[in-house]
Amino acid sequence: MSPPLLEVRDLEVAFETHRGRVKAVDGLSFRLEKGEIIALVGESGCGKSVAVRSVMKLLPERTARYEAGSITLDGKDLLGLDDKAMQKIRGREIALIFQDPMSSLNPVLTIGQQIGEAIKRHQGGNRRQIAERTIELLRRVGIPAPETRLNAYPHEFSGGMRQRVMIAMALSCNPRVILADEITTALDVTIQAQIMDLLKSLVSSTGTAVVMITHDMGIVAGAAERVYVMYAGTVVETAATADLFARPAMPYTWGLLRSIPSLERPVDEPLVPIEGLPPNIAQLDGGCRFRPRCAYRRAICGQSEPPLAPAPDGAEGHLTRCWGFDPEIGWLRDTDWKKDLGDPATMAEISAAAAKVPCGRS
Amino acid sequence: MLGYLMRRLASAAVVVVLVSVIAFIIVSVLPGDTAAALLGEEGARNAERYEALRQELGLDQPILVRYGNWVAQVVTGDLGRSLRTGEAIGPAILARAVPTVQLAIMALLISVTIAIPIGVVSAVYYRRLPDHLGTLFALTAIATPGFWFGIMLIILFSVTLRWLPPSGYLPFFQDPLGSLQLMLMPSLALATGFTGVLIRQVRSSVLEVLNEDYITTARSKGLSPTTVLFRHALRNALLPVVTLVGLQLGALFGGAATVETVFSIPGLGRLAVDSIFFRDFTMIQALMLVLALTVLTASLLTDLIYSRIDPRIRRG
Repeated sequence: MSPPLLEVRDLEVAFETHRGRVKAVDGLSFRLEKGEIIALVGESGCGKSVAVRSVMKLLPERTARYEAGSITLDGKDLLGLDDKAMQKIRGREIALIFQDPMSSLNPVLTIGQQIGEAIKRHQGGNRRQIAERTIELLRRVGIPAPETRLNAYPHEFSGGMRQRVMIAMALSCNPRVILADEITTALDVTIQAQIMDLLKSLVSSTGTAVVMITHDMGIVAGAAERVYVMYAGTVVETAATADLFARPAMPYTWGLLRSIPSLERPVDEPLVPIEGLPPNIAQLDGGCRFRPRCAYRRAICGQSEPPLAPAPDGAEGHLTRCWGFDPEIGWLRDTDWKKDLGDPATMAEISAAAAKVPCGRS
Repeated sequence: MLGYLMRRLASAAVVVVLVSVIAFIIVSVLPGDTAAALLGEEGARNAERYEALRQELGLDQPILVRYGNWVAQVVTGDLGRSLRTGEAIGPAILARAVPTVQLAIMALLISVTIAIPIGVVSAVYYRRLPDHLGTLFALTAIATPGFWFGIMLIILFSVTLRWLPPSGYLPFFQDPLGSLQLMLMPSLALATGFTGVLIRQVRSSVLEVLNEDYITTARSKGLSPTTVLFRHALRNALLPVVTLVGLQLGALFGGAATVETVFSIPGLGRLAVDSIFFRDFTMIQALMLVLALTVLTASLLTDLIYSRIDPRIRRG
């Protein structure tokens, strides 16, 4: 069997800060096949963005430490490469699209210059060839009058158009992998749909594989073939998208699904938020990392961390990190997550603990 | 752009009027007057001669009348005659401006050429040895008084090593090399403080830009660190530096007074100091007016340059 296109295995990334070492990614594993679209899902601070930046080795060199694990592209180890070798990978093999198209384009260079420099770096060519290729890219991402827009500056574009420019830039050297970090978060809903459709059609025509980072379950459902649910720096559940939505097998995933607004739901039915904040990964106690916010928790959850094990639905590649689904002691195997919200007494405890967090989000 | 220019010019006109009023008031509340200064301590005791001179110079008239007369004269382009020497003020200021302008330009060039590389290196090696050395250099420069540094330069290069002439002035177009040689130490002395401030500004500006998202974008395209620094970071980081340099031009003209005194350069600064000693009212007023116009022109030019190099303003 040929190696996967991109594989991250047991990755651990930590940062040196004034207050000591802080782990941002803690035992993360995922794999991406050619032409596949996968999604890493989780709330803010769960390590998604650090994970994609570590694939490109774009983390600040002075503070970031790769402590364990491996990242391989087509079987080639990336963590061992020096910066010179990584420069040949960035943009050509793996490209990155950022969350905020407002701040991720350089305000003093024209978009033609910004797309062209990537082409020049990796493919070369004279001015005219580069300009032609740039115009073709802009046309493909749906920028009107690309011949003139080539010489426009980022501030002369709307947010959605800038994100199209970013996509054109990412596609410019025909990369094998695109990392898309919350690319629709800063856009309004209709533009979100346009951008996602554009990305999907472009990658299906070029065969590029995509790792999407998002906290939006709606986007996951519409685009990804496989989902990795991340919590506190590691994967807590993974499955093919259809399996995950049909039979989620982890209380954190249930929480994410319950907090999606839906048009079909009665308007007076409240959304159910996940109480509390993600834990500080520097202070994990060895138990399940979601336990402090889990309304289904039992004594065993505090004793040891559950392994990433096959979920009870038996679907291929559906894994969950929860004692409640253990084949022998699991107590959540037959729970209907839409009706049973967990033990009321435990829920009250969690709410009380969340209220005490001084800077808790509202 | 034209509307913007008109608004800027209108506000500049208001500033000029205010400066002229303030100049008039300050000069007239100074103890003593030109007549007393001209006659000397002994002569001023002779009330008759003193009054006669005051009348001759027009100092016996009320301040409002004098201001009115002065304004009426200035708007025709005539800055009047020096009370002290009787020479026409316009040509006198023009002649003395030449050395000062040369001094200020040289000091500015020295500051910029020293400060930008040091500031950039400091930012790139943030909190490592080069940064600490750069910061030490910057703070030392800020804390060193220009006139003292000038004297130290004279002692080292003129007295001990005998490499450079200690003082004096040669017009640039008469003997360019000799003029540059003579002006080197004065412009170094004038540049010290500003160089320090500029290093700090460049450093913090580059640090800020290096944390921007578009720098990560540039790196994610596989560009080399040098390309990222020079093509993507520097152009953005130097925008606030342009503003600082423009605003500093006025301060350099002011600071030139002490340096010109130390190095015996017949510039505007020395002229201003001498005029104040002699209560040369007409000259002081004219000088303040010229200085205000210089500062205003410099800041207007800065804004125009800024809008040329920042596309968000140029095509906003």
